Amino acid sequence: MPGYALIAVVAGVALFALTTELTRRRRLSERYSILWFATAVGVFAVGVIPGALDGIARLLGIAYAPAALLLVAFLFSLALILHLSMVVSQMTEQMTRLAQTVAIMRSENPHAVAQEEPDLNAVADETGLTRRGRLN
Amino acid sequence: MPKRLAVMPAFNEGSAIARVIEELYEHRPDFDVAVVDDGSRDKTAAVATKAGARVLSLPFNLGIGGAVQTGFIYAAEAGYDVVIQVDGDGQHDPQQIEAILAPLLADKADVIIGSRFIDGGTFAHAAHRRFLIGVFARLVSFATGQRFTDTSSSFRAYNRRAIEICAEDYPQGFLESVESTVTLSRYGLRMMEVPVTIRQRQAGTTTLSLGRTITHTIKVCIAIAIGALRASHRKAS
Repeated sequence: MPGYALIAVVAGVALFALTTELTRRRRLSERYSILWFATAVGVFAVGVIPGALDGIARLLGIAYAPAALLLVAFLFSLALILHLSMVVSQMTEQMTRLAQTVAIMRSENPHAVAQEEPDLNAVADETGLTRRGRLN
Repeated sequence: MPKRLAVMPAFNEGSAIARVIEELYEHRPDFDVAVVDDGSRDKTAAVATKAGARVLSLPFNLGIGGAVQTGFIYAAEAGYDVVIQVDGDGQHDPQQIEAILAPLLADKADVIIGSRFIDGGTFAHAAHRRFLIGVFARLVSFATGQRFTDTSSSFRAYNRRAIEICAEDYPQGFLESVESTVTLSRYGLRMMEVPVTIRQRQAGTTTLSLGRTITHTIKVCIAIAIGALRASHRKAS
């Protein structure tokens, strides 16, 4: 087994384990865990299937196999960043709407106009939530 | 009697806003005032509440577009028929409100923009800023197919139809007044400019260095292009 294959196998297994653990602890939502499980399997496959990397390189018409790996990794990273930018944009829009709704609701409740910032820790204690939003 | 609301976006205007609100109530008792406090760190909200305005306090800074839209959402929900947008820094003279209100009430257009540059309007401004505003006006005129002289004016009046559209979709980009002119026009709203006189700012300063002027210009061009593309896409769908 060539060196790169060993690295790919180890990285694939590690990524799989890490994704499992993060999902279990709710640090990563199920929606994104699927993407990372698939990536882990892909990395693992490059390591265990002999000639997989060379096959991909030939398919893409790239003479030097590691360059094919870099190309795929780079394109994957770009796509992921674009996707995350879209998620951030959508969340910003939702947050804006939420802030606007809060502003209008606060003005309708005279007690809230006192402008006191809520103590988030106290709120968390009352609701049985920690600051991270997980159940104690 | 139609319900009328003056929407006043404010960010750290605590020193000037009380006078602006009082002056507005004094000259226009027919208007309610809603101050949108855009996450100010000073006493803007407290001062405005004391002056008798309804204060919509955003929990954090959204920027001018998000702040102005908050006023429109409130106006739409509370059933206002007319909204005028007034700056919280006192540069819009309440005595000029009649100029932008009259053509709206006469149903000459859905949105009336108070222009500093058509005949009858006056404004003392640095030459390079004046030039820049002229360039933007040409770009917006090109994008909308209607002649505009002052697209960065935030002294405006809106009727119910325009209020509902703005509550639903108001540009959140870097330059809401330029962008919104294009967007609203693309929604098929009738726009009209009338001459107004703008006062010098009571507080705060607008400084535009050369570097900022250039980035500002680029942003405006992008904003206009995107505004035009987006609205035509909306029309199609």
